[in-house]
Amino acid sequence: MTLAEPIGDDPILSVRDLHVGFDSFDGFADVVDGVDLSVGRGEVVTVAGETGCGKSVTMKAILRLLSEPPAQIEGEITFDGTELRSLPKREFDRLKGRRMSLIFQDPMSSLNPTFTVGEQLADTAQFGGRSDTGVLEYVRRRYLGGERAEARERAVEMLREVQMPDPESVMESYPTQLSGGMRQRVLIAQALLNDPDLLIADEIGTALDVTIHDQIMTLLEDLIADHDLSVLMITHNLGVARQVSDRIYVMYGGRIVETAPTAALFDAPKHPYTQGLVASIPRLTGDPMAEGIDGSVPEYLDPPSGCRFHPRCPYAHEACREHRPETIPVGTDAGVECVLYDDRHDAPYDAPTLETTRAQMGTIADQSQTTASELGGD
Amino acid sequence: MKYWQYLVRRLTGGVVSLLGLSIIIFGVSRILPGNPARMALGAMASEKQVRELSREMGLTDPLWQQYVQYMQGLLTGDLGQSLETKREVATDIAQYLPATLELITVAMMFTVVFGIPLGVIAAQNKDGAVDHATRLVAFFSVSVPGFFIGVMFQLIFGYLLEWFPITGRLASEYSVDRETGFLLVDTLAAGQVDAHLNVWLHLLLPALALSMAGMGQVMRITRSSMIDVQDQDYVAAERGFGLPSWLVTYKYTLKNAFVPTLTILGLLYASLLGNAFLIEVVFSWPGLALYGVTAVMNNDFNAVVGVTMTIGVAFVSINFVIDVLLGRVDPRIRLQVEEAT
Repeated sequence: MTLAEPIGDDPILSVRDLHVGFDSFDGFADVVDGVDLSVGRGEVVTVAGETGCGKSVTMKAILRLLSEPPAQIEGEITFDGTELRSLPKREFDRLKGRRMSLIFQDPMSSLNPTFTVGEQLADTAQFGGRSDTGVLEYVRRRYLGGERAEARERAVEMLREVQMPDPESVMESYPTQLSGGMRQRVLIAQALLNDPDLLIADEIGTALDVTIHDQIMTLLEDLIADHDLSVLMITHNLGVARQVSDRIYVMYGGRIVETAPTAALFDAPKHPYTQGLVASIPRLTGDPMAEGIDGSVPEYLDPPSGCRFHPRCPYAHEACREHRPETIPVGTDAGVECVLYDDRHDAPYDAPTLETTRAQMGTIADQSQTTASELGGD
Repeated sequence: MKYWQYLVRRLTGGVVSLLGLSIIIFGVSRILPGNPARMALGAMASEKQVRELSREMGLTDPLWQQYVQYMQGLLTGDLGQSLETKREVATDIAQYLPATLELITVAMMFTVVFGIPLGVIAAQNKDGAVDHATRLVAFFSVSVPGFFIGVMFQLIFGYLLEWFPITGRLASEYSVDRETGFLLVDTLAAGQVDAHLNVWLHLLLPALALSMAGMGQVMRITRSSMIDVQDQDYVAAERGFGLPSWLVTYKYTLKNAFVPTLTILGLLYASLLGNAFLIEVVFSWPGLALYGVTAVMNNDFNAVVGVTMTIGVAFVSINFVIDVLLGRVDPRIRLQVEEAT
């Protein structure tokens, strides 16, 4: 199999060969370069990667939140059997908000500061995914006939479900009067108001402090189970990915470099980049902490040839520079885009294990020791 | 501090600046050349007559006594007699103010009704053809003087096409009880629909000519603040929830972008009271600005004080209304005020 094929039999969302580029003054930036991914029904899937690797752009392309131009989007996006790219705007809007919903990255900036929480939630409950509502119909349903009261009740109920303290008074508050954690809860409630099938969550909770973040993730896990949601989550935090997701895609430089079920990915990462990421997670064993991967994410205006990770890869050789590696299946539900696993190439090394990579990377503890000895020797 | 306390404080500040204004006008009037008594009597009067009238008018009293008298008059609403019309200045103002208020209110309506939507549309089509077209219109409307536009309107729509009357407020065949002085209101109250329509016909050209400069400003300021706001995360989120596009634009985006526009609208409204002068001249509009400028040219001191103070009061009260509205439009302003203390 290839990873372009859906992992489940009947995925709710599948993306094939997605390309997103931007025309800019400095030239064409090729930000998402042939991404394949899928989310099965009831599956929680995470796309993980460093900041700037194209995760958010992928999400925005799926939800049509990029304006074209400057963005140029190609590829196939299928939601529950419907091809989204060719879907007329009107029908897409109907899916968006009712069957697909999203939680934005920053709870501080994703709520409108000039309206009360209640106004925003009630409008979403009544008119989310109903973009063909005209002015007259809006006025009628907003002000006449008691429908508004029902919508507000539903909003209060939803706030209660996200464990918001004192939901009635929150309804009357403006976002600036709420804490970050409360705003995050409001955003989750807003996303779930219309009972979507697919939830897309962008870096949820990363703007919050650690204890609140933990509460939010636990809450999210419960909500996913209660509402039978399929989730596409985007994060740079592997800890988050490990906590909630069934399967993980690792993204680097606008490409999916590895995918595997969560446990397998953490136990035996294959791609040198994934290994680097996993090795960088601080451990409580008292071992020295790995220093992280040298270098930074590639320039999109002039990306490295072949494998985009090769300038930072400790195992890079000639083949990596020449061709983009093919995706090599590993078992039935995992794959890796790296020539080290391709039998047709004669890699000069064996495929590295997590421990080899860990050993390759310097450790922060090492460094502090050298510094200490340097100071001592002075 | 509650927001209403803040508003009271602002209003108090406004009253203090009115006091300052009254002192400045008093000072200026004593410095300016020209003797009001001479102006009142005309060139033919003898020196003796002028001296006598000067004493009668209190011009020979010590300055502080004159000031006390002047302030007493201001506070009791007794503005004295106009040298030009020989009537009480308060009566004159009561007569001329409604005409100007009616004119500038309708002009402001045009400014709002055309300026804001055009700004929104320009922002949505940023750097597109529509945006460039509205930029051109705004540039034109700000740079061409209103009186010139007024004369052109008269020439084209009044004289050549004969669609609109050229001057005045109401055709002479209608007679209306001037209950409020606002002819739109008076004609409607009296049930004279024909006359009411006729008032609109008279209003249209001068109001449109007067609204031009403000319309350009409002259009540009709305455009730029809409562009700032429509890139915000919450706007993307609202679109992401599939809310109707017009709702996201005109309810959720515009309200956030409205603060600068509202501030400009307030300033425009107050300044039009005095700036309507040229339009009033062109359209023979019996308004306050025309009265005030005539008074200045004739050294009609009491009338000048009356008009200036009226405009000052208008500035202060409009600013107060704008402060109230700003607190309603953007709760952040209100909360900031309440948290800062």
